[in-house]
Amino acid sequence: MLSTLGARYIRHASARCRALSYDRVNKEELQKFASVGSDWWDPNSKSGTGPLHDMNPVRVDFVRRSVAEALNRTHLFESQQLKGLNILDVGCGGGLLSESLARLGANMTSIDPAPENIKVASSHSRNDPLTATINYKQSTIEEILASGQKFDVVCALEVIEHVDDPRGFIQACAQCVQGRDGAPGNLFVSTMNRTKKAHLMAVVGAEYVLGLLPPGTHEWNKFITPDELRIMVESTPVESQSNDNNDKQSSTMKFIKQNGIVLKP
Amino acid sequence: MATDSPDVRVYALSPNSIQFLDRIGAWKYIKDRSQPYTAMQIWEESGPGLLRFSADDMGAPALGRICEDQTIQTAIYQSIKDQGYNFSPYFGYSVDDVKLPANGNNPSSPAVVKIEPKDTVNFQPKELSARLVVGADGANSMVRKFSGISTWGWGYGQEAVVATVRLPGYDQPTPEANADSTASDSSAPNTGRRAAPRNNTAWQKYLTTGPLALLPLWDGYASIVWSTSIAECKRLKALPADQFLLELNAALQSRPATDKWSVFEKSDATNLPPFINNLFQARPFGPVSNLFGKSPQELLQAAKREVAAVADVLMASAQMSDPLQYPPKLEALCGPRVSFPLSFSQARQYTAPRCALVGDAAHSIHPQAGQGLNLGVQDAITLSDCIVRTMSVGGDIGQASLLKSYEKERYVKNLSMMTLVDGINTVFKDEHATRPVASSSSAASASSHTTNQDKKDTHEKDYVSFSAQATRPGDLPFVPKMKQFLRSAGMLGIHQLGPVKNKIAKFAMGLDNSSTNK
Repeated sequence: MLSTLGARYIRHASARCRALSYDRVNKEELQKFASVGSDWWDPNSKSGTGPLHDMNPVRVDFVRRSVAEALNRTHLFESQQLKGLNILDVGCGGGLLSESLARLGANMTSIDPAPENIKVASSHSRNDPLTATINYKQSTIEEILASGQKFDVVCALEVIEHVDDPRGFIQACAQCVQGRDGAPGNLFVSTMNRTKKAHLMAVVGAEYVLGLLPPGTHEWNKFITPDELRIMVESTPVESQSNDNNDKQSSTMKFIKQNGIVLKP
Repeated sequence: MATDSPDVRVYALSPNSIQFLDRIGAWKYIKDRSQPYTAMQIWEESGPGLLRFSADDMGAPALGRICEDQTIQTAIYQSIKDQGYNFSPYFGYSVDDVKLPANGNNPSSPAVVKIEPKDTVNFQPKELSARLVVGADGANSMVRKFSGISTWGWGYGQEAVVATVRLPGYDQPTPEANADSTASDSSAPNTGRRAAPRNNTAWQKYLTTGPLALLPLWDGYASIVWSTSIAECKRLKALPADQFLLELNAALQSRPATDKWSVFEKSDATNLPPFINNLFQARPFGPVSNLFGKSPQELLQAAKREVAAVADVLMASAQMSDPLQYPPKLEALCGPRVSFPLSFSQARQYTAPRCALVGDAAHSIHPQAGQGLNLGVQDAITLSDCIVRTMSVGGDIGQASLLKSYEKERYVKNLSMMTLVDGINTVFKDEHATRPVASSSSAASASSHTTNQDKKDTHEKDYVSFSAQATRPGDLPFVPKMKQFLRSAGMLGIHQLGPVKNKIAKFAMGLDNSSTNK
């Protein structure tokens, strides 16, 4: 298995282009989301964002709980546990995750390479004073890294399976994390596991049988297994302040069926 | 120790509701101004049916507590203040309009509520915007009206007269009497020189015109809830106080009209409805009768005798093990008599975009089972749990999934309880009910059905025997008699079946309700 992994990474490394960061963004992947528009916020939408609404409470709960445990904030009310933390949401889409984290008290910076998504997200966030403070930017993680900004928490949820160079992406995300007051920073990545079951359910089932997502939304070859993710993260060099390796926290490939049951394949 | 008489608006709080009020820090302000009831007796005027629940049987300290409306509201406001919440009440305002977003699934705008002050000189109308509007404004809810939610149901054609009364034997509180009080429980406050009579039983008597409940309060006070027809209710409210008290005591103290099973009194088959007679004339019964050498009529008589024997055993055993007790005689009427209409009503939806209805705004129930406020409290518990769950993941509290899960949880549960109580109401409803006007002169002529034994009984001497003048069950046609027999026998049966009784009591107390009080 190790040799196939090695071969895979070499392939990715050679495909890496160091020119403009936007060139790294896969244009085909961007197109999948460009036409979603106001459907982002419709829980019953068939354009692929419906299941995200079901998944969101579970992933927000995981992020909040993990951060609270890491920063010793579990004694606070849930709605106070993220107060004052600077959080970066990479690939924020319509802002589903960002708004939830903002309501829990976080200072949100949310980026997405697609201008349409940023437009939808900013206009929706203006409806609620708690979410109106979210800083939406059309940008990529490489740009953020280059600007030298650091965050207590970086979230890249349901993004990495749409990225051509997952290892580079993870590295960039990890390097934007910085802990404070001796407590570690946190990076959250979630995606679907590259198993036969995931192929059956997430690709065939969701896209072709149930019609929950438009066909072609996910490419099974781009799914990442937990082991691969661990290797990617643990080989990422970070400025050593408190810890040697980046504290990897992942939601371990949760795949949620339409009726809200969480499966751990 | 309460020194002023209780307010006329009181509620029965179940142990489940009390646990919730305790959890939110409001119960400590209510406790002293509430009365626990440890027993409940339900019996009828027109038959021997009797059912008594006791908290001791279930090992519970009380079946519930009776509290005033004002006390509960003040206690809740106080507990909100104690916890330092950012809470800005607008008192003296009424809802003028409610504008909700059009699309519940994607409510991209907030809900807007316009409120109008009663005092238009010193105060201005206001426009409040909210993520979630909770309509808890009672049976004539404005929020429900402006949300465009309609209701379905029916009026019972009844109103309930409510009043506060006083029991004898409670003097003014004296310090020395309290010092040497030997009462070990604080539930029966010892306010007199002698130990005052215990006032811990809730009484409910099903008169032919509707249920009459006597609920214990502190310091020898009690509350009566008399459900009856609208015309009768009007008459009762208009009576002078002493006359009203006379009728009230007479209604509570009257003996059941018969201590025999009226359905078995006349034994000829002509008493049966025609369809049963026709059934027995039909051919299939021919071989059966030939088999036993008896005619269908004779078989029917034999069956009747058997059932009557069983029923008599039931009645006798009930009287031996746990006989009927009589409520205390009431001494005085304190305060006004008020009334409210009774209806069965359910909102077609409990929710609208960014809006939820709780309590009487969502559903209306007959008061005879004391469940009205408790259903509302359970609604509040469920809605608050949904809100907490959503807030802990940073969700929008007006979102459709939250409202849907609240409605799914409560709609059917409320409807089941309402239907159950409506069923009980139907069981006890007597279409042939009449109630004569009370007067002391009719007392003498009324005792025609009572035996000598009854006349000598000083317990009954002073009261008009209404039961004599109400339609005698023996004169009713078959179907009502059978209904009354089944009802009385059913009550007596349950009365003696401890485990069944306990299960029923636990259900009414809300203690087996899995959705609430985690």
